Amino acid sequence: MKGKATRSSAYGTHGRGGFTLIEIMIAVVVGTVATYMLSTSVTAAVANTVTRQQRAVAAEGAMNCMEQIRSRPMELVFALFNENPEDDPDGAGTAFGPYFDVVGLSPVLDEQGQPQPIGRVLLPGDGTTLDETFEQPEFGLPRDLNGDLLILAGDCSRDYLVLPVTVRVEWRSQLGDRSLEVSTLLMDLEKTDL
Amino acid sequence: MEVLISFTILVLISTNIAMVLRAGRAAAVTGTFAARISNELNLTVDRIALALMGADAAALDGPQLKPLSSEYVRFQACLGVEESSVVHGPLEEIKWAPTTPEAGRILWRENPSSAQERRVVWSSAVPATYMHEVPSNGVDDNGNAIEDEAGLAFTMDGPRVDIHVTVERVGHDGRARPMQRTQHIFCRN
Amino acid sequence: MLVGLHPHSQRRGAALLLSLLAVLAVGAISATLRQVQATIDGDQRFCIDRRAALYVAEAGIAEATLAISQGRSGSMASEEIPAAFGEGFFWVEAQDRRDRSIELRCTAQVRTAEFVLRSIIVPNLNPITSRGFFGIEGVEVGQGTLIDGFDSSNGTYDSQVTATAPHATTGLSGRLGSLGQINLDGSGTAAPESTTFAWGEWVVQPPPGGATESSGESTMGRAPGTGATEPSSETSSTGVTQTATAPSAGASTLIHADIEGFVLSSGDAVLHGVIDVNPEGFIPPPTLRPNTVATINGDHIVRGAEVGLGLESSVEIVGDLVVSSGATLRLNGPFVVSAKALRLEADAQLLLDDSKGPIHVFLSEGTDSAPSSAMHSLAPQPESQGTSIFVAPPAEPREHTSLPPQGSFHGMLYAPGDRVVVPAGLRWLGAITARRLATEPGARLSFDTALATGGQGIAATPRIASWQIVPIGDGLARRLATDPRTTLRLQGITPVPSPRAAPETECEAILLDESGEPTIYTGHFEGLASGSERLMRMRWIDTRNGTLRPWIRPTGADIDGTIDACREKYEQIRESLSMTVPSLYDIDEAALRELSRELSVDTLIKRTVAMDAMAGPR
Repeated sequence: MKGKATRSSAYGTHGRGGFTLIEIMIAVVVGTVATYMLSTSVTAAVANTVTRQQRAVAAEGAMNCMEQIRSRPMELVFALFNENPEDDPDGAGTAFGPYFDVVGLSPVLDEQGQPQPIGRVLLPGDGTTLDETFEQPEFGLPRDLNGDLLILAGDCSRDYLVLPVTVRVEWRSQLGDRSLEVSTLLMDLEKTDL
Repeated sequence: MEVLISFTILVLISTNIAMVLRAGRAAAVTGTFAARISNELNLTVDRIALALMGADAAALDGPQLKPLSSEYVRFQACLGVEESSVVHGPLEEIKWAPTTPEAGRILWRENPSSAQERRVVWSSAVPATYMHEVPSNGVDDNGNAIEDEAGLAFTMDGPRVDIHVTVERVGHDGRARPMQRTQHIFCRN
Repeated sequence: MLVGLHPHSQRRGAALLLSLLAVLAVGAISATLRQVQATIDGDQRFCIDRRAALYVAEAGIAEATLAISQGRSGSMASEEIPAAFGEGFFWVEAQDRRDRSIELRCTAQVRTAEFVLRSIIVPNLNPITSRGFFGIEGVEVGQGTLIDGFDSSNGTYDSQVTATAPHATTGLSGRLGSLGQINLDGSGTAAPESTTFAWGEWVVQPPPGGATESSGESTMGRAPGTGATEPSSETSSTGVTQTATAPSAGASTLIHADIEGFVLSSGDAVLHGVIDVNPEGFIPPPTLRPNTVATINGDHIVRGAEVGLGLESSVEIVGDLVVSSGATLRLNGPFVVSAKALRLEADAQLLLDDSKGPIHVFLSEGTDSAPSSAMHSLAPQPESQGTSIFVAPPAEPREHTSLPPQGSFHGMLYAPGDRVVVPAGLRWLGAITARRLATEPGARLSFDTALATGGQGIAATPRIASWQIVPIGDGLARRLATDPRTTLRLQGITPVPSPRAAPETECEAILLDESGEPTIYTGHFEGLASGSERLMRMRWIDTRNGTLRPWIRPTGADIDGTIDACREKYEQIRESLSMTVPSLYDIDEAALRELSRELSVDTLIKRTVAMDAMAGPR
C-alpha cells in the first residue's frame, strides 16, 4: 500500500495524528518484555543475595569444623569424628561424632521428607574400622595410611600416620539443594625445636 | 479515542516500569550493601585468621578463656629456620581501636609503639560491642558463652583461638546494619 | 512518553523506536546489575576457594612429610602434572638443608585461588637421641673430656677426623644439654637437686633461679697445660669403686657441641658451639617395648662364650642377665632382650653385633659393671644399626647404672631415673639421656647425628619446625583466571592421584626373608612383598639427581614384625620336627640352650631346615 497522506492537522480533518494503535500495542508488548527481563534480573539478584549469604554461612561452618578437627590430637581424630560411639576416648557417646549443625541453613530433605544433617565430617573406612584396602577413591583409598609402605588389610585406626578428611555442608536454598566441601589430609606432626 | 487509549496504555506501562525500576533499585542497593558488608567482614576475619595461623602458639599474647575475651592479640610469625634456630618475624598486634565512643576500627600494627611501627586499618566499621551484646552488664546476652565482648574479641579454647568480629555500617536509609562472624583457628606453629 | 501528537511531524514507527530504546536501557541496567552481582560473587568465591586451597596445600605438605618418613625426598608431582586432591591440585618442591631438615614448598590450586605454603620438616626425629648427651637434672663433665659429633651414615668416626692436635676430633658439633646446670671441667659445686622434678607427672621443669639471658657462640678457655684437677672417685651402689684416672697434664676439656642449659666452668674448657640458656622442658616419651615370647625364669648366667640367649631372638629374662667372670656373651641383631639387671662381672665381655639389625635391651634395674669388664659394638659404621639400652625409672631416683669401664659402644642409653657416669675407657658413639650425667676425666663422647632420626624403640615421627604462608600475587593468595581443572582438561593432562605423587619409586631394601636371613631387594617399591618378609631398612633413588638417599627405616615398620617373623617360622619348624623326630627334639630348654651356644640364630634355622629335608616327607 502506498504511503498514507500526511496529515497537516489533527483537527477537523480525516487525517490521523500520533501513533497507530498497532504501534502502541507493539510498544506495549516490547515494554512488557523489557519489564519482565528487568524483574527477572532483580529477582535473581535478590535470590542470589540470599544464596550468597547462605554460602558464606556454610563456608564458615565448614572452615570452623575443619579447624576444630585440626586442633585435636591426631591419634584421636578418627575416634572423635567417626560414626562409632563405642570407641570414643572419654566414654561411649562423648565424642563429637560426624554430624554438626550450621545455624542459619535449612536442611536438605530426603525422599521421605526427613531432614538430613546439614554438616558432616567424612572419614575413610566404614565408620568403625579404618582399613587401607577399602575402595574409596574419594579419599584416595586404597592407600598406605600408617607409613609402612604397604597397603594391608586390617584396622589401622590406632596407628595411622595420615588421615584424609572431608567436611561437607549441605543445605536447601531457594535455588535448590546446595553443598560445599573442603578436604585435607591430616598428618601426625608434632612441633619441634631444632 | 485512540489517542486516549494509547495515552492510557503508555502511562500504565510507564508506571509499571517505574515501579519495577524503583523496587529493583531498592533491592539491588540493599543486596549490594549487604554483600559489601559481608565481603568486608569475610576479608577482615580471613586476614586475622591467616595471620594467626602462622603465629608461634607459645608466644601468643592476648586471647582469654571464655567467658572472658580480649580486644587485642600480639604474636610473632614463624618465618623459618636458620642455623637450627627458628626465625621469628617482628612483633605484630591486631587490636580494636576506638574512633568514637560507640565505634572503632581494627588496626594491625607491626613493631607497635616503636620507631619502626607500621600500621594498616583492616576494617573501619567495627562497633564497640559485639552484635546483640549489651555492654558492661556482666551477662552473656547473645548466647555465645562470652560476656561483654567487644566488636573484635579473641578467646582461647585449648590450642584453638576464636576470633569474633562484628562489622556495622549505616545504609542509605539511615539504618545501621551489623553483621558478625566467629572463626576458629588453630595455630600451626 | 507522549509523542506523536505534534500535528506537523511524521511519527511513523516512532513508538517502536522509542520502545526499543527503552528495552536497550533496561537491558543495560540488567547487565550492570548482573555484573555487580558477579563481581561480588567472585570476591566471595575467591575467599572460599582461598581457604580451600590452604587445606589442599596442607594436604600436600602432609603427603610430602609421609614420603619423607619413608626416606623419600619430599618432592611431590610437578607444576606441569600436578597431584589431584579433593577439588584441587598441588605440587611440592623439597630441598634438603644442612641440618638434616627438609624445606617443603607446596603450591595448591582450587578453582579461582592459588595458595603457597612453606614448611620445615625434621624427618623421623627421635626425641631421645636427638638431644645428644642430656642430663635431665644436671651434667658434670670431667676434666679433659672430649665431646664432639660425627655422622655414622658417612662412615666410621676415624674417617671423619679432621684435626689431630691437641685432640683427634671431627670438628663436627655434638649436642650437650640439661635442664639443670652443666659443669665443665668437673668444676663448681654439685648442681642442686631439682625441686620441681615430679616422677608421677612425668614432666621435668627447669630448676628455679633461671639463668642469664645471654646466648650465642662461645669460645672460652685458656692454654692447655695449665691448671689441674684432683682425682675424683665415684662409688656405685654395688660397692665397686671406680677411681677416675687423673687427667694428664695439659688436657683441657674440649666441647664441640651446641649446649642447651646453664653452663658453669672454671675457664679451663675449650668450647665451640652455641649456648642456649633456655632449654625446653623434658617430657619422657613412651618406650615401644615389643612383646617377647621366650621367657627364661630366674637369672640367666652366661659362662664361657655364648651367642644369643637360646633359640629365640626376643627373650624375656625374669631375673638378671649375668655374664660371669671371664665369660663372653655375643648378641647378634636383630635382637630384643628384657631383664631386671645386666651384670658384667670381672673380665666379662658383652659383644654387640648390630650389623644385621638393631639390638634392644630393656632393663628395670639398670646395669652393674665390674672393673675390667668391657662392652664392644662390633659392627663398623655405616653398617652398624645401633644398640639401644633402656633403663626403666624407679619410684625413687637411684644410682644404679654403672657402665663397663672399657670398650667401645655405638648406640644410645636411656636411663631417665639413674645417674650415669661414662668411664674414661669406654668410647661412646651415640647418645645418652640420664637423670644426671657425668663423665670421668678424659672420657670421649661423640654424638652420632645419624641416630637422631629414626625410631629405636621410641616413636620417631616427622616433626614440623615451622609453617608459613608464602605471599604471592597481590596478597596471601593469587586469583586464577581459569579453573585449573579446565586448563588441564584442555591440555589433555591427567593429574596423578596424591598417594602416588612421589617421584621416587625405585629403591634398595634390606629384608628379612622367611629363613630369617637378610636379603637385598632392588627395584620398584611395589615389588616389596608383604607378609612373610620384614623390612629392615631401605633407601630410595632420588629422581632429582639419580643418587641414593640415606638409609632409613620407615616410620611404620616395627621391630615386632621382624622378631615375630623369626619366631613364627622357628616355632613352625620346631613343632613339625618335634612331631616327626621326637627323639631328637624331645629335650628341655636348658639342653636346647647348650645346643645353641655355638650357633647363631640364623645358622640354627638353616640347620633345622636341612634336617627337616633329611627327615623326608611326612
